Amino acid sequence: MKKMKNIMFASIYAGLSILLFSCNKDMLIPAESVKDLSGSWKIVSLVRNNQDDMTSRIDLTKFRLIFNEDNTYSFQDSMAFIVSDPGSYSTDDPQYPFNLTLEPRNSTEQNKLEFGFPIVNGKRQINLSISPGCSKNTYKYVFEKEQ
Amino acid sequence: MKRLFYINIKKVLLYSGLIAVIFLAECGLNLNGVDVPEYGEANQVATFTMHCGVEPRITDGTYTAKLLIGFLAPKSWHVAQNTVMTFTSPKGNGTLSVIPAGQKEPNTGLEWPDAAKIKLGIGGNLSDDVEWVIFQSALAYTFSNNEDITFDVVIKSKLGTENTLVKLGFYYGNSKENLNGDANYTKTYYTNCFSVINGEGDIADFCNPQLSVVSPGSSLDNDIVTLTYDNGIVESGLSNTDDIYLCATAYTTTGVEKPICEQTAKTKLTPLGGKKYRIDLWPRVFFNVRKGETLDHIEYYYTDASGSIRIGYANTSDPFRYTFKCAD
Repeated sequence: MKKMKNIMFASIYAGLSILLFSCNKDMLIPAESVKDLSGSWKIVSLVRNNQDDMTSRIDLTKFRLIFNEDNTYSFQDSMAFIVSDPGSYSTDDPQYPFNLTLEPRNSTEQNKLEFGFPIVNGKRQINLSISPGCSKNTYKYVFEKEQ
Repeated sequence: MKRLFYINIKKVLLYSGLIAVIFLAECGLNLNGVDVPEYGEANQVATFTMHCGVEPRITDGTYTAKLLIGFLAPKSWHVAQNTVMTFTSPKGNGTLSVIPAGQKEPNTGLEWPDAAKIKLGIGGNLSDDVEWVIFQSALAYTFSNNEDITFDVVIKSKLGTENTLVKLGFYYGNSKENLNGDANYTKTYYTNCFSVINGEGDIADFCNPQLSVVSPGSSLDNDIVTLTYDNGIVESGLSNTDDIYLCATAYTTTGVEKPICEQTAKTKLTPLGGKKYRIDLWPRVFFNVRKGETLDHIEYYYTDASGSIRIGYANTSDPFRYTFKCAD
C-alpha cells in the first residue's frame, strides 16, 4: 500500500515538473504582433471638422488606399487627401504604431499623420486625421480593409 | 387597512442628503453683463469688459479653481494671437493666457475650441466660420464659504480687416468644472450684431440669412466644400422649384477659367427641407484642376433645370463669389 502511495506521489511530481519546466515565458505572455497594413483599404466614415458627417454626402465608394508589403502605397481613384502621388510609407513603431508617414515618390516631403489601428466589430480599421486644405479644417477618415 | 401615505424615511434622508451635498458644494458664478463698444474699426483694437462674480456656498472645506474666459469671434480675427485678457479682482490681478493646443477639455475629451463649439454653440451666428478661444488664469484661486466677490475681465482684441457683422460671444467658467454643462458654472453672453467698419471688401455677414453660404468659411481647393442655397429668403425665379443646379466658373491663380455649368446629377443640389438645398464638392475634381494648378476663387449662380433662370448675389445677375483662402 505504501509503495503504491509513493508511486502515485512520484507520478504527480513528475507530471507537474514536466508542465512547469516545459513552459517558457514566451508561451505564457504572447508578444504583441507586428501591425500589418498591407492590403486595400476603403473609406467607411469621413467627418469634417468634428461635426459634418460627409460619409453619405460625397461618393467615397471608388477611392482605395493601398499599402503594399514592400512599404509602398498607392491610390485607386482620388480623394481630398494629404498626398495625391504614390510613394513609400512607414510607421513609428512596428508593434505599437501611433504615427504614419507618407512620402510621395519624387518628393522629399514627409507627411506625418496621427494614426489609429483599432479593431471595431471584429474588423481592423485605420483612423487618420488630416488637413488637406486649410490647417484648421480637419477630416477624420476611417478605413476598413477590403476582404 | 392600507396606509394611504407611507413615508420612506430612508429615501427622505437619502434625497435630503443629496440636495444638501449639491447645495453645500455650490460655488455659483455670475456674469453680470459685458460692456461692448457700439462698433469697431477694422484692424484696430476694441475693448470689451466682462463683469463677473463668485458666490461660494461651502460649509466644508474650500473651493479652488482657475478662472476660464472664452471669446467667440470670426476665425479671421486670429483671437489667440491678437487678444490680451486681464482681470482685476479682490483676490488679485492677472493676465489670462490661451489654453494651449493639445490640452483636452476633461468632460468631452476634445480640444477646447471644439468642445466649446459643441457645448456653448455659436450664439446665433449663421456661419460656423467663428471660433471659441478659451483663456485661463495662471493661478488657481481658493474660496471659502460666503466669500462673495465681483471682478472685471478686460478683453483687448485686434479686430479683423474685413467689414463684418457678427454676434460676439463671451464665456465665464472655472477649471474645476470646465464645460460640464452645469448652468451654475457655465455663463455666457452674446452681443447683438456687432459691426466692424472701414474695412476691406463686402460685409462678412454672420447675422443675416444669406441666399448662399459656403462652409467651411475658410478653405482651399483641396478641402471638401459645401454650398448651401436658401430658397426661402426672397421671391425669385427658383421659388417654385426643387430642381436647383450649380453653375460655376473656377479661376486658377494664373487666370485660367474652368466653367462647369450643366444641369446634371453632378451639379444638382440636394434638398434639406425648409427650402434649403446643398451641394458638397471637392473643387479640384469638380473643376478638373490639373496637377500644378491652384484655384484662386469661384464665381457661381444657382439655376433651374433648364439653365435659363439664374440667381446670383443678392438675387441679382451678378455671380456669388468665393475666394479660396485660410483664416490661419
